[in-house]
Amino acid sequence: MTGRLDWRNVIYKAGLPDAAAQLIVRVVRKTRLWRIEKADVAGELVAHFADGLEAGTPIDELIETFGDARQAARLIRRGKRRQRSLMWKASCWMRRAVVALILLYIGLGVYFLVGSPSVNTNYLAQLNEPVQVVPEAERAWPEYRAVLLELGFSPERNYAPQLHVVHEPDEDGNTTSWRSDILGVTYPGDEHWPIVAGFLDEHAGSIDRLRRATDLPAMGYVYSYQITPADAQLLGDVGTPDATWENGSMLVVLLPHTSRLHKVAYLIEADAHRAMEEGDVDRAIRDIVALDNLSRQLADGPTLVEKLMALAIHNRSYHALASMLERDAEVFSTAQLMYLAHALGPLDPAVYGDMSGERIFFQDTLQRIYTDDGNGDGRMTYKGWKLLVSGFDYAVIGESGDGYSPTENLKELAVLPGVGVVMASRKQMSDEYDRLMNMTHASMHVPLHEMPHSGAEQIIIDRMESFSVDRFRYGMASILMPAMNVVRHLIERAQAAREGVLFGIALELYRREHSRYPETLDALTPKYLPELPIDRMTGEPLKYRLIDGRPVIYSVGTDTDDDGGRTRYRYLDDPVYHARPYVRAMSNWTHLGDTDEQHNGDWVIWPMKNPPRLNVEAGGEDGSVEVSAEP
Amino acid sequence: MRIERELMRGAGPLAVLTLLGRGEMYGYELVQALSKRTDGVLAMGQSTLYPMLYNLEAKGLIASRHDTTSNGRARKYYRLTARGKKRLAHDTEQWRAVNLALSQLGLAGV
Repeated sequence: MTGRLDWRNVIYKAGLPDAAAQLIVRVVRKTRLWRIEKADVAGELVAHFADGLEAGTPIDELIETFGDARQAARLIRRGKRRQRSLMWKASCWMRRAVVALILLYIGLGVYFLVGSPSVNTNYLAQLNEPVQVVPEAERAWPEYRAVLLELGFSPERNYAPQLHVVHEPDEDGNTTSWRSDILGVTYPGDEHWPIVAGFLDEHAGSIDRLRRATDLPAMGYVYSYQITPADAQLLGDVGTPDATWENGSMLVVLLPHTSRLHKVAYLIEADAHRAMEEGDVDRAIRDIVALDNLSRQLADGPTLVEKLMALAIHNRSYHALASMLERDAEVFSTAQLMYLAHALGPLDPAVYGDMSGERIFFQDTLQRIYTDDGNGDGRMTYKGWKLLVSGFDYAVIGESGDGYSPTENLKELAVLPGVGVVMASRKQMSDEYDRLMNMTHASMHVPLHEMPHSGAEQIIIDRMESFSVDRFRYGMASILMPAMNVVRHLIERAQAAREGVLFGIALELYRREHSRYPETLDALTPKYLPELPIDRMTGEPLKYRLIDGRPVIYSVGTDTDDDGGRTRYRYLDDPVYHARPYVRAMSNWTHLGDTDEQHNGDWVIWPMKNPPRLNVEAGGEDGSVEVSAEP
Repeated sequence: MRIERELMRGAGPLAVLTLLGRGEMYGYELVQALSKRTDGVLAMGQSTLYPMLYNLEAKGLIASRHDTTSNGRARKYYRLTARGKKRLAHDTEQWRAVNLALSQLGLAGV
């Protein structure tokens, strides 16, 4: 050590009386300053005593007037530290701030760690309340289940074995043989249609039983964590055997019946085509109405999946009827057409927009993540956070860390305080979810052309694409929001399809009475149609033309440009593809990046199965074409 | 007579600045001067003086320099800075005002 820094040497080298030297050593040592500072203080105190002695002051008096050594050290330390550089002072404050933050973080960690979710509401029972009031004999699901078992469906086979056929390799030998279910994709005239037709003929009794089950007032499927023994015969041993409402999140409540009901719809639809093939129009009509009933049974279910499935079946039934009318409307009697026009009831957006089940799912999730303060609020918990990060893999019993390595547990614990602070509280999360759901629900009643461009979906999309605090704060509400835009899209599609077949029926009834098609659509009301639907893209009346002698009713589409009643879409047999761009664009789904070119063309409401096509190659750059016929 | 700590907290630095306003001084010299010129009223030990000097130096009111005495001992001298002079003038004026106010209240001998 250099002499400059050796403060003890400074003191002892001065030759002061021992008592004075010891006092200075004691004071300087207690200052706990840097060495260079201690040396400076030591030098100054030594000089003070030396000056005093030189002036003749007795050493005892100098020591006595020195003051309290401990206090002197403390004050000297304070004074000297004040002389230090700004940089040192800043780093000092920084260190203190870091320590304070760490302590705060640890404190918050403890705060969130000691919290425990209070699962005290049986939301599963709430979900099942409407089901339980339906008498067993009025429930359709047991009937559907029995018939599917009768037809050879099983837990391993969501198809009838007879309809799971071998496809031969193509002529060039580029493919090997493969098997698939031909139900739902095979129509009269297709290669495998005779197999489907034979199956339907063989099982006419089962199909009739399905048809009659659609007349029952309710679906009657009981939501549960476990599959009942009766359901297990068809659906297999799925579900979570040990889960109860107290230990199992409702996000693991399965809805396996929906995929089986889709097959029921396929069977009835195929039977409608088979009936037309056999000239049994009454049976075909009963099948179409049965599809409508099946959709409504499903739509009464409170979950998103059931609503989506119901709308998909509605859509299939309308398109099946449309194909029959377009192929040969003459086979329908006037009475049959009038019956159909009345039997296909309107689709109520309130029914499809009712997501009471989804709200129940959300509230159940909240009670498994947050504490409960008794007033609807609470804070994030460690158990809840683990539930979230696990993606609900461990949403049932045994989730308390099974399958997690100590490192993973530690990581989750480490981020818990941050998560707890950033994420919304229970009440805030619940309020935000309700706000978005209410916005969406309200928008279900707004015509498409008046839809706001800043609906709940847009708020969520903007939020999830940004790096704002709200993205994380309300991330859970955003992620668990049901895909209402998809519901809206399917409602618009199904409503347009329903309008299409009703127009088809009305036009045919008019033609039979007047031996020609009407000059304008107004001629159809009120005798053939109670009221005219509007163009959902503009709110204006739908367009009407005769093209090649055929009546064409159409919306101008999302570009709101009249393309003469022609659609640009190639895959016209796919109603989903046909309508999606229009509805999505009107819902302001700009993130999908739909091009102007994709928006070109009209949305043809009637005819549905074979509408006039926009000849993009023959037209100009904008795809416009000459209209060949005027009404 | 010993002055209460709170009173000393205001008077002590002003007293030191006043003494240094007359020229640079070292620690013991200041202790002696405070004791003699104030009849011991503002006397302060090393445990009070040196921390006070360090504080005044940290505030930039005084500056120090090291030197050696005729017999070769190291010694540290303090002097007023420009800022210290301003502060001295300002504080002096304030103390005079306080003094005057106290005398107007009839405090005899003030």
